[in-house]
Amino acid sequence: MFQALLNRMYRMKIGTRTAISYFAVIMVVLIFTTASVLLLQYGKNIDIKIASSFSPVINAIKDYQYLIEESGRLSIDLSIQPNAAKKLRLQKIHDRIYTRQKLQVIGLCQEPGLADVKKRIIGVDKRFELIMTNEKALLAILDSSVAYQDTTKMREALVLRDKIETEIGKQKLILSETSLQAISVFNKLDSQKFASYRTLSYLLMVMIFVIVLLGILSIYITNVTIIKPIKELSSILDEVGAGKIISFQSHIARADEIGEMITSAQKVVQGFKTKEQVANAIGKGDYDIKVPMLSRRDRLGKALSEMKDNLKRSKEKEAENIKSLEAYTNRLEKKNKELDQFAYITSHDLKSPLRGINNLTEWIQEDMGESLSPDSAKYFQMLRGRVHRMENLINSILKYSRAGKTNENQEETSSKELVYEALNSLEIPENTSILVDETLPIVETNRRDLLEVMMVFLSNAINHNTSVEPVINITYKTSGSLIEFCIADNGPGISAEFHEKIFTIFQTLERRDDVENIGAGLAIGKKIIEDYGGKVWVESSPGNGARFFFTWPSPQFHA
Amino acid sequence: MGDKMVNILLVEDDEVDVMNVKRAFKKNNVTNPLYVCNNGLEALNFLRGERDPSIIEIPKIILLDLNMPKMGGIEFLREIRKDDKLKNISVFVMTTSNEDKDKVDAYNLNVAGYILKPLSMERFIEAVSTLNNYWKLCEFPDK
Repeated sequence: MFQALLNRMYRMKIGTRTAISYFAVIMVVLIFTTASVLLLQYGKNIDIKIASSFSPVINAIKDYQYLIEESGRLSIDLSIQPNAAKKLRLQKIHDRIYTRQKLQVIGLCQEPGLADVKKRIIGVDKRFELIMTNEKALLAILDSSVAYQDTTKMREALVLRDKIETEIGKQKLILSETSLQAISVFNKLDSQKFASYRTLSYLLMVMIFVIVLLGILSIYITNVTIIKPIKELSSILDEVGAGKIISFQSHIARADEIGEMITSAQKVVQGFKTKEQVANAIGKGDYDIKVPMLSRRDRLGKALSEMKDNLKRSKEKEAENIKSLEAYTNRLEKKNKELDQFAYITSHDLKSPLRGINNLTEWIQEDMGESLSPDSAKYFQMLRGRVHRMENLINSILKYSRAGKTNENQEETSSKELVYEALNSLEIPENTSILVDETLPIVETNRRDLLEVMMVFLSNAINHNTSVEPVINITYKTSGSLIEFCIADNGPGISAEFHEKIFTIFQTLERRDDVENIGAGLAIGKKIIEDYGGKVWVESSPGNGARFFFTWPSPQFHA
Repeated sequence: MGDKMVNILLVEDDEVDVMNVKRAFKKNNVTNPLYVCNNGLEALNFLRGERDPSIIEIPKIILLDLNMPKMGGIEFLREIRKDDKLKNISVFVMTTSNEDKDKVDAYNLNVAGYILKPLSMERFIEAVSTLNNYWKLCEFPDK
């Protein structure tokens, strides 16, 4: 039932609800105030009634009683001896005073509560009429002083006197009772007044209780219907604010402001949720999704839409870039193939005419025999020398074009062994001292690549050494994940201006006719080293020998 | 043994190289009959008797260059290795190509030797002399 009441409440606006509760409180206060006022009035009326009729009634009864007693007393006195004044007084009572007194008492006893009193007084009055008759008879018997002498008359009077006395005693008693009865009636009224005041205090207590109850009820209802939902909503909005998107459903259908607030919050969350879904879809690459706009002022929606468009554009651009990159790669691959083809062609097609020339000169020389002049023979010799150089140049081009990192057979290799292997395959002049660091490390490489590099630097150091006692020193140091090898010689040295040039293919520092040297070795070595991610450089000056450095990666460093 | 001369086929497109071989033969007194074809296709036609049906005996030895027009040496080798009549011929590759790929391809097709053409005449004559001694020593099936 309480739930039904709550449900009914949810359908009202908070304003209506507040108005109703205020109205209820006001009504309660009004009802209780009215009741209190009425009760007070009632009490006051009783008070007035008591004040206005209690004393007069009691006094009147007393007076009435006294009057009756007086008349009795007068009768008795007169029955004993004559007294004109008393006789007159009694006659006055009989004639006027009594009736007046009687009417006054009866007139005062008009209150319904005094009906019994009135009845009794009327009863007394009836008895007193008889008494009066007796008294009048007594007066009639003793109408003169002579009559007191008359024993018969006196006897008669005595009888009457006794009757009167007895009767008046009776009536006096009744009237005393009647007085008491009237007092009790007034006491009863007084107690009624107090009862009304008690009721009033109860009423006040009940009113306070009802108001307190209403207050508690209204606090409870406010709590259940307003504060709790607001708290829940604000905690949900906090979570939303923290970025967590949760959908929630109000469990009560309500039409008040809280309900509107919940609906608004749901709209916000729903908006976020839709945006989240859209953003997810965009994130997954759906750039054709339509971003739902909450309104024309939906800035988040606009931002999302712009983001989507930008992403779409950049994706398209990226695709274009990839395409052009692919095209570029294809071109590059084609060029590389062409270069390979070129190297192949050089090695065959260029070499065979060379050999032809060589053969033909030999045949000419053979056929001419002795008839060839010594000069011509020398020229033929030089011709063949140039042909050989040409062949060497072609071979070097081929070798240079093929030089680089070999991806196959990468393994842990002792660089020391490679140095010895290289030295074994080189022609080393007798007096040359070669010092090899015995701790040369293990490196990760293709054997042939590093061997080739070692050969380049060692042969370079040996071949160009013009010192009387050539000394060649092979050392290394570690720097990070790289091994830095150093091949030092005590040769003629290289001046700084050639330090770069010597690593360029076909660059030689001496005439080829003096020292038959192609000038490709260092270039090939450099190409291999750089393909491995290393660096090569020389430190040298004329007369101080040369120190060639190169770094080689050591993916797994071995101390 | 010595009186039985095997025919030799030289497949070579360079005229100087052909002369070179002939000259080296002469120098070494190699008297075996020498036929010359200028490319692989010509050599195939020749071996299958399409050029000169009068050839009675198919050459037992072929000196083969690799780089030739129309049909190169490796391609020619593949063809004769597929041909039941020709697959037994001893082939010596004589080439300027120092490519590993060429060497591997050639040996995969069962060549008897892979000789790099030297630049100087002298060394070529030496090589031919060695070859001559080699095939003089070898026995070949009659048919």
